[in-house]
Amino acid sequence: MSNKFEKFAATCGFFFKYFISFLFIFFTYNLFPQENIEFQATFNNEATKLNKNYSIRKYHFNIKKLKFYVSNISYYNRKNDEIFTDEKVYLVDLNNPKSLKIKSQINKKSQLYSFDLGLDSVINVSGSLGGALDPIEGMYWAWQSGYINFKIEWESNMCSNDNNQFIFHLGGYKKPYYNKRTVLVKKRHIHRLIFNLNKFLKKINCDRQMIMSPSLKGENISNLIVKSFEFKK
Amino acid sequence: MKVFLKLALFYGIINVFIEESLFNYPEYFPKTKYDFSKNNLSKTKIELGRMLFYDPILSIDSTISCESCHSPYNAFSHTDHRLSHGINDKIGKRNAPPLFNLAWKSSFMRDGAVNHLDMQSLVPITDSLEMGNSLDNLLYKLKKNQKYITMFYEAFGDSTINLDRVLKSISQFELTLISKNSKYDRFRLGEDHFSDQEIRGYELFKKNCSNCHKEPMFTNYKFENNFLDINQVLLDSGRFSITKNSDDFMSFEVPSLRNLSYTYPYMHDGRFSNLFEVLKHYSGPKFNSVSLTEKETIDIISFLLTLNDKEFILNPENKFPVNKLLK
Ligand code: HEC
Ligand code: HEC
Repeated sequence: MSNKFEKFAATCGFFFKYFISFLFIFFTYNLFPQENIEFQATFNNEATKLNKNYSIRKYHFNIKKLKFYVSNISYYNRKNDEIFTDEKVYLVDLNNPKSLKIKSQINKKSQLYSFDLGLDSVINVSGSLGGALDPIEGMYWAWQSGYINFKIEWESNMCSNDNNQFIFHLGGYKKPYYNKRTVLVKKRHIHRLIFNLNKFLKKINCDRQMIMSPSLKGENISNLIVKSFEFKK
Repeated sequence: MKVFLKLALFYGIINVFIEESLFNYPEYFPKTKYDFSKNNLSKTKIELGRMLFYDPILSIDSTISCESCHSPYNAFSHTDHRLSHGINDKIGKRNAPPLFNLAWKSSFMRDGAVNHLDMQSLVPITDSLEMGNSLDNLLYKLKKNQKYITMFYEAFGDSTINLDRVLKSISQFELTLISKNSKYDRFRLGEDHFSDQEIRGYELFKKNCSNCHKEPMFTNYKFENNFLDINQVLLDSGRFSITKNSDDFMSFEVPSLRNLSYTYPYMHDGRFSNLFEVLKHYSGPKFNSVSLTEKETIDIISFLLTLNDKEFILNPENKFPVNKLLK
């Protein structure tokens, strides 16, 4: 008799423990909800897919690659008026849906402040680092050391010539071509960071369809990329 | 707790000791530039790096190894070839430089195009004129190879084969290539003496050459213009191609002058096949500051020959790992 009771009590205790942990997790989750930041690329207001044909008036576009480094994601904590930075480096690749979502520090007290497109010079001169920074990712220039910060390749008939290919590999960590760009967000409740391809492509001209090393043209394209970002809740 | 601390201390001391015995150099050498804290030397990693260095598995068709252009008998340069040869006998753009005392360098290649030793190997591995491989294919080949699975396990404690480990292991082997036992070094340590001719040459060298070829490494690690005419076929403008700064036109990294007897021909394009030709260039009309008589030329050359390090050339630890690679 007492044996049965003990078993019953033990089972109750067992479930009770789980119940408490559940409550704990539930409340902490609600107190400090961890929200993702999500990168997107859009074409005509829809999420862009690689290797899909899009058109704007008589021109067609087909994005082949879109891949870039994001670093120094910074958050502003309203409560104690402080900015803090995530030291991790992320490689965002449209070809890898998982890479588009980044676990953020956004919660009731803190909001997204800014992020960097590309990598700083220290990373660029630190040798082999592995992980997202492994040259196997195809984001490293071996012949002249340095990371590619932003890679976009597409095909389009937008120029009146036979060449449909556009290849922009943007990078550089030394003056005069220090290519890393900071994108300021500074708005509350922002989670979605959208690279608006319509905005970007509208400003591309046909004077150079290929950029494969640090250059003035590359710097201008990078400025255009920053301006093509939009922020949504 | 105390036992644990003692063990930890013991382990620490042993480790320092091991590292020192893997990498040591004379007191009069400057401080090294390579950051060893990010790539701690170990015997097994050095051995793995040595394997990779000598193994043609690194090239697309398994015909070319690093040694093909960097032979230990030539202080890891490529004698008799002005320009390097790669897969399918393709001719490269420059004369392969010797490899030693790399831990003291912070930029690599004759124009400084590469900023870290770890990243240097990426160039020959992927260059279509050298080993012509892709990084994915390189890892694929290594992962299929039981010998490497075992060696990566021994070196890293698990058998994961990734690019980071490959690059760092090759660096480890290269870092241990230290040339420090020339007659000049013994002279510095008071263990040997120079002949009268060598002393005259040494004095002339200090006056005319050591601004750029600074003792004891015999380079100031800068990019300098030593007034070579541009090679009309290669149109190699040196450092200028990297910086696009007109001051850098025809500047090349000042090379060390150790082991010259083993590293001919000389200069970035191998244009001079012996030291007399080199000295003739330096005493010619272009190089205004120097005007050397024939006797002075011979004196300088006799000094330069004291920088040959036979012990380095013959060191079996630097050579082809016969028992491992041919097994
Ligand atoms: C086809 C010939 C060839 C092969 C194969 C080759 N190299 Fe080289 N290596 C060269 C040439 C040529 C240079 C100089 C390049 C330049 O200045 O642009 C060089 C430069 C270097 C340097 C820079 C030295 C310095 O002082 O700046 C290192 C280090 C090096 N090679 C290591 C390696 C390693 C490791 C491998 C194998 C993974 C390798 N090389 C394979 C030809 C070769
Ligand atoms: C202004 C700086 C400067 C001075 C002074 C100078 N050199 Fe050089 N030296 C260089 C540079 C730069 C190179 C490499 C050029 C190249 O790669 O084409 C070089 C290359 C060499 C080489 C070829 C090394 C090799 O491995 O290819 C030798 C030998 C040499 N110098 C000897 C001398 C001697 C002897 C003197 C004094 C008479 C001297 N140098 C003075 C800058 C200098």
